[in-house]
Amino acid sequence: MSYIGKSNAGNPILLAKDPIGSAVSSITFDEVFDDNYTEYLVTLFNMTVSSSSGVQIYWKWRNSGSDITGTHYRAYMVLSPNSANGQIVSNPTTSNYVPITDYSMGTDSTREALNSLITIYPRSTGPKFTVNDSMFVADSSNVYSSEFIGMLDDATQVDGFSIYASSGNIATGGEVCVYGIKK
Amino acid sequence: MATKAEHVTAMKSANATLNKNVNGVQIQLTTDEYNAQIDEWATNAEAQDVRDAIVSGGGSHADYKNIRKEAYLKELGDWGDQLDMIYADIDAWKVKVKAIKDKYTKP
Repeated sequence: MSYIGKSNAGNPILLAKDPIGSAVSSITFDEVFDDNYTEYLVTLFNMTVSSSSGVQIYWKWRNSGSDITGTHYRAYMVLSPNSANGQIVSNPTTSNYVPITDYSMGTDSTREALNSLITIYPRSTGPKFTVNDSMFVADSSNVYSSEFIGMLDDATQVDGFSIYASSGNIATGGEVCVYGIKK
Repeated sequence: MATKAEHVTAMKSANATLNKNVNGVQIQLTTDEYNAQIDEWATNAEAQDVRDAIVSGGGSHADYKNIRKEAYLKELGDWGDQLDMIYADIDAWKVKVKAIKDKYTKP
């Protein structure tokens, strides 16, 4: 049976978006995850940073308007189509946040855009995961594609998240969107 | 390479106030939030300065394993390239690997 032209049963649904109209230290969505959806997508479009170099983008889980603290685990692969740089790394940990890029973002008039698709599941009391595929242009002007998998083994049920730069503001421009998917 | 205190001074000079977006609404950080954010940024910036200096010039760093991995890939190529090097001249390959190990050391 062909599904062309048929409804997608409302999936995915745009739940929230934030066009970044001016430089901000963080972008937060609270009470955006609930039991109406089993999986969520967050897209980062053309995100830029204010600092000149050496910046990572961090992700924090939130619930009821507060950050969820704890040890975050991650694995990641970063590859570059226009340089010999890259790495594959397992099991580094961070406290209270998880990086979703490597450390080489930075500002320049011709680069620094981060585009990312982040899959989030579940919002249950079990471990929570972020899986994000990204493309960004580094402070060295190298282009990177990356996949980061983050894990927080915490019993708190999440309802939101924050994104912020390791140093300096997230610059004007770009957009963050949140979509819900029903199974 | 700037110290954390120097980063704090520079960041406060560049950002008299800070704002955050919550559910699409821009809100100015409170004084406590502002100071905490500047402190975190300065801590991260100082740590990145230290890492960058070691990647450039060598030295001891807690993240030495990943710094070495980056250097292996950049200077020797991927596993396929290195297998070719090993097949062609394993001693020359070992010299290059040792140079990276010696440049980036365990604390």
